[in-house]
Amino acid sequence: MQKVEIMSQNPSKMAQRQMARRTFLRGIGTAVALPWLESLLPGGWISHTAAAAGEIASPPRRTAFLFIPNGVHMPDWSITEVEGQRQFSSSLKPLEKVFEDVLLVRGLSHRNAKALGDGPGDHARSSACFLTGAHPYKTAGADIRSGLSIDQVLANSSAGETLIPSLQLGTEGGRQSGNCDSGYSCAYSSNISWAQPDRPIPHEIQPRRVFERLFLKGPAGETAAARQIRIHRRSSILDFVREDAAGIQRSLGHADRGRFDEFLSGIRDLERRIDRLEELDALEKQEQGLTQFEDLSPTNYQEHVRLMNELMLLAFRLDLTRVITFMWSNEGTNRTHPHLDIGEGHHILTHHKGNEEQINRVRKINHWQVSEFARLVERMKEIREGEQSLLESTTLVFGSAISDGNRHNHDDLPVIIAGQGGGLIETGRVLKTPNRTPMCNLFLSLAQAEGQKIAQFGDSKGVLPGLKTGF
Amino acid sequence: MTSTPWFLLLFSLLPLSDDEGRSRNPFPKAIIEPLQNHCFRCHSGEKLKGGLDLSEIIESGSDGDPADWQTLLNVLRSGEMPPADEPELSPAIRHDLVSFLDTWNRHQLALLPESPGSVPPRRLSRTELKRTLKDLTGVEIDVDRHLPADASSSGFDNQGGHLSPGFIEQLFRIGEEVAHAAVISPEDEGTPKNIFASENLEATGGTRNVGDHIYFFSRGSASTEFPFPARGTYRFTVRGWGKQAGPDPVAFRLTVGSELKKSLIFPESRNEPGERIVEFRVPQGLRSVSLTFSNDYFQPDDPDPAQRDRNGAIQHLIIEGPLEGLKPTPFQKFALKGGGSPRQKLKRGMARWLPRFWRQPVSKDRLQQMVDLSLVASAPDSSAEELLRSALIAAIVSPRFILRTEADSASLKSGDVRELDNYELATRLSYFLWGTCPDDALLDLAKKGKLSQRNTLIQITRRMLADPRSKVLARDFATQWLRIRDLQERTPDRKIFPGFRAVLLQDMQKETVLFFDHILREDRPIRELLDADYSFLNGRLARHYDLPGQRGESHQKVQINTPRGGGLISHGSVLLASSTRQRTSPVLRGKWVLEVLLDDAPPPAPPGAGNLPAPGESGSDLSLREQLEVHRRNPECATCHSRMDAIGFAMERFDAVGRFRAGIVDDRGELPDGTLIDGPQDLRQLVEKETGFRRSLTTHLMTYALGRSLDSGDIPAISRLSRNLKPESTLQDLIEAIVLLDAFRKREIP
Repeated sequence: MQKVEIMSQNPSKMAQRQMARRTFLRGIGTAVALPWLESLLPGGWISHTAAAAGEIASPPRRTAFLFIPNGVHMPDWSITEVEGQRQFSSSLKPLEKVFEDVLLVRGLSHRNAKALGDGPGDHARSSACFLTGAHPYKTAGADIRSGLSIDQVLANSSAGETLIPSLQLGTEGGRQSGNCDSGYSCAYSSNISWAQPDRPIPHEIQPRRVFERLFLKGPAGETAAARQIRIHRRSSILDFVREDAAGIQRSLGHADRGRFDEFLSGIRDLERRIDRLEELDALEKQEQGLTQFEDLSPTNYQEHVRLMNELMLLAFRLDLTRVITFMWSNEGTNRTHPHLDIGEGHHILTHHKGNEEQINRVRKINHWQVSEFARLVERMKEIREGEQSLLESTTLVFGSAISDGNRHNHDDLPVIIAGQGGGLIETGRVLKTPNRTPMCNLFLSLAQAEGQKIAQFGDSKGVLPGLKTGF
Repeated sequence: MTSTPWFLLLFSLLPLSDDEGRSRNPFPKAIIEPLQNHCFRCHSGEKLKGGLDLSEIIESGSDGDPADWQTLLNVLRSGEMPPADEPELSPAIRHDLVSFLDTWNRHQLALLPESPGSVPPRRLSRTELKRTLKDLTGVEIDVDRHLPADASSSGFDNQGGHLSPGFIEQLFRIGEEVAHAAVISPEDEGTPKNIFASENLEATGGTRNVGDHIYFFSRGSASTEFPFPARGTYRFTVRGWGKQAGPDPVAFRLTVGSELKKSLIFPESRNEPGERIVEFRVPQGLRSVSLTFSNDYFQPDDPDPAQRDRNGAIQHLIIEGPLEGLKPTPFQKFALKGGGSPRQKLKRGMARWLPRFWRQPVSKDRLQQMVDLSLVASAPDSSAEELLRSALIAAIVSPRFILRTEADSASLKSGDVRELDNYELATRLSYFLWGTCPDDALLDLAKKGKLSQRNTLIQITRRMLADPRSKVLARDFATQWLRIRDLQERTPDRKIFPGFRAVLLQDMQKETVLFFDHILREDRPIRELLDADYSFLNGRLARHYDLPGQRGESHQKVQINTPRGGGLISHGSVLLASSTRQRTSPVLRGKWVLEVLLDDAPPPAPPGAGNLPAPGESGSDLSLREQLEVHRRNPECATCHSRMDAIGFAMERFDAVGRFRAGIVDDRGELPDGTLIDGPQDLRQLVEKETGFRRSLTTHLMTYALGRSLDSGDIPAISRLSRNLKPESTLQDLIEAIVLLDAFRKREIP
């Protein structure tokens, strides 16, 4: 007892530091007033009339796809039932405390991530296929081609309703030299969102830039008057540049227009947000402590992942966007995990040739990934939206398009779903689908639930039965 | 069964057509038979698995689709086919098939017609953008802070990647920063004073931001990013105090950017806070300014409770400067020269600077539009300076600036070839040779149409290479070609190389950059890249290499007459980049030589190929050479490793941090054909003789010059250029040849 008392009076400096950090990370989202109670979001999910009448419409569906690289150690990826008791393998152990909000899916596959005559390059193929279900064209040049990704299909559903159609997050840029994997372009291993089959959407890796983008922030310390001048300037210039760019684009041949599409859609994106600057400002004002995000740079990988998760929560909660993809690392990454005391590269470790020590390190990485995911699930559950939690209207899809990192197979992929997706998913279960069930069946279910009248996505062979029991 | 050497097989391939010029089946039995035995059952006749009809492919010979041949090569090379449940293909036969098909494919591709190809609109890379803005306005912007890193494809970052969704906004930020640094408004003149109260500083680590001060209960820092408007002297005033404990007074370290540092002592207590003042010369641009509590002290056992814990506090930070006063910049003096109304001044100047920004003439109409826009975008009755700021931002956010677009006239159709106009060519030339925009002189030559003439084009190229701006070829091209650009991130394992200082990584990179630049600038033969007997060292690097004589911080040309030698293969940068952090890797070094110097990339390791055992694992007690021998016993591995390892072994004379190993080192490697490579000197001669070396240099430089990946239409040009290179040819010769290529001067309508 005495020991405990001493500790509580005199916490070590290290503990204090961690405390300060944690308080910061948690400061957002729990302590402050909930924004949606104000009728500030004409374009958001609260209808004016409903808000005026004091009623709340049902929250919108949000979807996030969280990608982890290099597959997992599959022998350690299971939840079984022994005499009515659930047994979690060590990698999945962190799911135990959030299991009522989790659906573990087994048996999903991505056939198109396989070689199919194209030789090596499983890593690049798997990330390119992860959300598209498409078989990427083997090239290290500019003629890349995969498919439209499911997040973009969902983003089309909410287009115009949120300030940002979809958000792409990551932790690693595209700095690798040469082709990234056996003759596959780096575009394949460093993107999972594809706006068009030949156009991946690069992700943002700097938390600060994500924040600036969400709130249209100017340089630190900018006065109100200076900001007004800046915004006025921007909107006049945007007008002018849009017309000029559209004129140039018309003069170009079809093949050269793509870069101008990107340019023009960037212009429209910014214009729309400037139009709604006042709403954005009002939102930000309510969020005490948001300014702390501004110059924040993560000091290690774990913090980086957590910060991005926090920004994801923030964007969902304020309904700035409803679709987010987050690559926890680029595919094939060989990054180290110093916070787990693992100095070897991730990719090298996954090719462990059965070496126990290496396997243990892979399991440790998997365990960490799953616990960060569980932590995110907990955080989402804490956030209330009227009668329910944010998690209830959200679908989180977490996984990889390589099953076992040592074997490079693409069937029985490690996939964990969390959240109830607005009544779409019944959690707290393991869903066993027949092996080689296309992952795209799940995507088709998500698209149809979002009201998209499509009968097929990627290589889907119908929807995925069993997201709800009793199907 | 013994295997037939592949070159004999190739020999029988030479008569490709019969007397009437029809192609006939040129394949020797040794190739056809195994295909028939192992593949036809599933891939010919009725049953066509994967839709692949092998008999048809073989029948069509050189008329067939190159893609089918490539597929066949890929599945055989990767071991994907035949599938596991079919009879196995012996490694020797597989090897023959792969060698044959590889040669066959190269041969086929070389027969395709040469075409100039086309480069799609692409944005300036981060480094290009930074240099371009500096050349145009004199202002240096930390572009990296605003834009995501450039994706690299085909090994270079100048290939114009996609625009990220936030790109336009990032571009505005850059434009706004440039406008405020390049144009000083009359109301800004004088010495600005910026006060950062504690709540405006970002506090991290062991800190609490409490009302009027930041309290440091442990090591932590308070910081801000500050856009220093111009180069000059800045005064930093810090107000703070300490909760003193232990022998020393509270100390903070003030850091500006990454290099300027000063320790500030605060013996004061809370009741009477103190102020410390420091002055630094700071360059223009955005830099971080931070205060770190540097001497935290915690002795919980001290009998005197007041002496247990030392903490500090900061109340505010004031940045004043430049003390010389903010003055109009050279750019703005040039852009607003002469008298008249703000509008007239703006227009007169814009007619001069806008064509440089957009790298093309600007019509009267458009100029007028830009003037009108600047008025609309600025507050009413704005000064000429404010108008100029608006105009600058608009010029930078324009696709005419940030994208390099070669627009074709509507009368041309896909597949047509046109010559680039003089301005397009000037832009290609300046980004290739200078990594920045064309200057006035080059635009003037373009205006006169000088670039369409072959002779003047060569003269201009020579002149541009003589200009110091061409140093970017060493900094940007050579470092990416040689894969040493990220050397800074490859710190060797401290436990194994305790004496290795990180600054050596910079020294090594600089050695290679200066070396390449010397060979380019002094028009030295390209063979010197391999066999020079000199290099560029400073004192630290010379000591590291254990070479006597050299002193001082700056690199000098040094004669190297020791067995170490001076060519690329003995550069610390290269040796380190092709080692692991712990040890040398003959495999990585062999692979590096094959890919970088010989244009002969070995196929990627098959899945599950694995690595050598880590220290302490079973098998790790064998020598590296023995471990690799074990690995090569697997015939699947032997095909590639016998070459990679042999080359890598010949470099074993150098350790993983680039030091020469004296004494007895087994640095011999034996190639599959029995050639013995006896140490680095042998290796240099071997590489120099290989056509692959000249092809590799050509391919890499062409990719960089064109800003696109090369394709089959480029193969004839690659062959021609590399064939024309002699050991005594120079980089300038090669660059001239590239500039004269159709691929550089013309464009195929996509």
